[in-house]
Amino acid sequence: MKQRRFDIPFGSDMWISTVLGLMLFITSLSLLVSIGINRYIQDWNTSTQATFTLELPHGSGNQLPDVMQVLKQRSEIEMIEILDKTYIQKLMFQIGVAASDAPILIDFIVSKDHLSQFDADKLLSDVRKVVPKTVIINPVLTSPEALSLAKMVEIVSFGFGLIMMITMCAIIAFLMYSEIQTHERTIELFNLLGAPNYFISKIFQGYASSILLKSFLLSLALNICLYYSTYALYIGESIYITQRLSWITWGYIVFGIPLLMVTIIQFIVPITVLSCLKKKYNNSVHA
Amino acid sequence: MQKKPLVIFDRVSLSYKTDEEVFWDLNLKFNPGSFYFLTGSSGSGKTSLLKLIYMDVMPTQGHVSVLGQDSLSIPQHQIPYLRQKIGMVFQDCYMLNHLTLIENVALPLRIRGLNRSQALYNASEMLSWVGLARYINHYPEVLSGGQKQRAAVARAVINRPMFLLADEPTGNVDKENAIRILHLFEELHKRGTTVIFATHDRSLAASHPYPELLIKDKKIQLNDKTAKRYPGIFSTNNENQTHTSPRNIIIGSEGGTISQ
Repeated sequence: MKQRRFDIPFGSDMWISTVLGLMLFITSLSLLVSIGINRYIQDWNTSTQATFTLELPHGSGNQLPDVMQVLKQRSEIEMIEILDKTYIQKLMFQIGVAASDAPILIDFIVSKDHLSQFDADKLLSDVRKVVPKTVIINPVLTSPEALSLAKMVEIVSFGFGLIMMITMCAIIAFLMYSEIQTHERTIELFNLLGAPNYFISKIFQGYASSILLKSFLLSLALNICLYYSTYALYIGESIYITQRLSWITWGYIVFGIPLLMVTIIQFIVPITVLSCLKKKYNNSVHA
Repeated sequence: MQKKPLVIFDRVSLSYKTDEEVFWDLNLKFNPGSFYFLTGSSGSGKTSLLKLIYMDVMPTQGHVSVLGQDSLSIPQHQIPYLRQKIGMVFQDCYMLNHLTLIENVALPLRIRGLNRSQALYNASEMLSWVGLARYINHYPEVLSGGQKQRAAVARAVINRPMFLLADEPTGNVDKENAIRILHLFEELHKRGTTVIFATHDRSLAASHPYPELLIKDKKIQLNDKTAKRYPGIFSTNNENQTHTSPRNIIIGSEGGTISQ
């Protein structure tokens, strides 16, 4: 990519743009992991907390319409599904139970608005009047151990992303400082020609913008590659996660990275440049 | 009616931190529309005097007033805006080698906020005036010393400054180019610009009818050739002075004398 020409002859920015591009990509990955884990736990709990399963013993098929009648009478229940017999037999086979002994499983989802008032024990006693030995399986939420582990991963990856962001700011600030030292004579000429410090700062902001734009394009390209490679490799359920996470990535790219770039260009660069210039030209005006 | 002086030196002393005094108790006034040669040997303090005017250094004693702005009270952030009203030509031209000639000349306008195309248009006009129209897209490093100096003059006057400071603009060029460059300054002077032309070449100053300020032994001596030509007109209290005449110069607190 051709380097833009500035009023101050800055050095080549190819190397620094590449490094910052990779850092932006790593930052996006770490934030993606952090946000993704958080969202995945939330989604898991949201989707499972209202799902109950009734397990009717083997051979109770004749009473199934009566059981369904009991369930339909409950206004809190918004969806009922009798699981496929073949699917259950497969499950039973996997845990070493004979297919002929496979129970009848009925999933039902309680409306989230009525979840707090739903009395599972009352329902079970009603069903047991029709089919004794019926069991109700409560929702399987994320275990506290898994939850704390996920939280830890989330915090670590978020912290890592934050460290990368701070490092990027520091690299840009150091770059600006070293460019001021390198082009001292040019800056002095600007000063003698009557350029206020903010005018010189604007040139540096343009340079930083050019570097960050290149870095952003590189990180965007890497993110797209990652998205498609993950998409190509998905198996079964992972498509759901990939799709959800990819939207988070896009959200991050659309808002997160530009916000970081604006912060660097509008605050980090001017503060660095102006403080250096103030120090330099405050000394020169007194003999 | 007498115009207000552009620059006033009021009991100014200057000494650098590690060196002895450059000036001591200096009183000077530069009125609008004049032309002065500032002469002296190398290291005599010509550049320091110019630096005091564009406030690159501040006096250790006394105060310098430039275009009504006092060195003691001017805020740091106002100095660039003051410099925008002063044209400066440096001895080494101080051109930026990564910019073309036209971009170099357009710099002061762009600093003042003029849009790029207008600034470049004005710069091309100015380069035509100094006879460098065909070099506008050349880089400074391929130009001769004389051409660079003419470009530096174009850059200094592109903002239409009220006065022009030239620090040895003929120092690195041959006699022919020196006269050509000096001619540009004379032309600007005829248009009403105040010019302070620093040079170590006293013969150049002697060959032109403008007053010479000679810096020697930390003192400034006035050699007013026009005063000799028109005896009696050099007066500090003359209300009928014209602002184009060098007689407007007032050196020393006594008026017409050198103060130390």
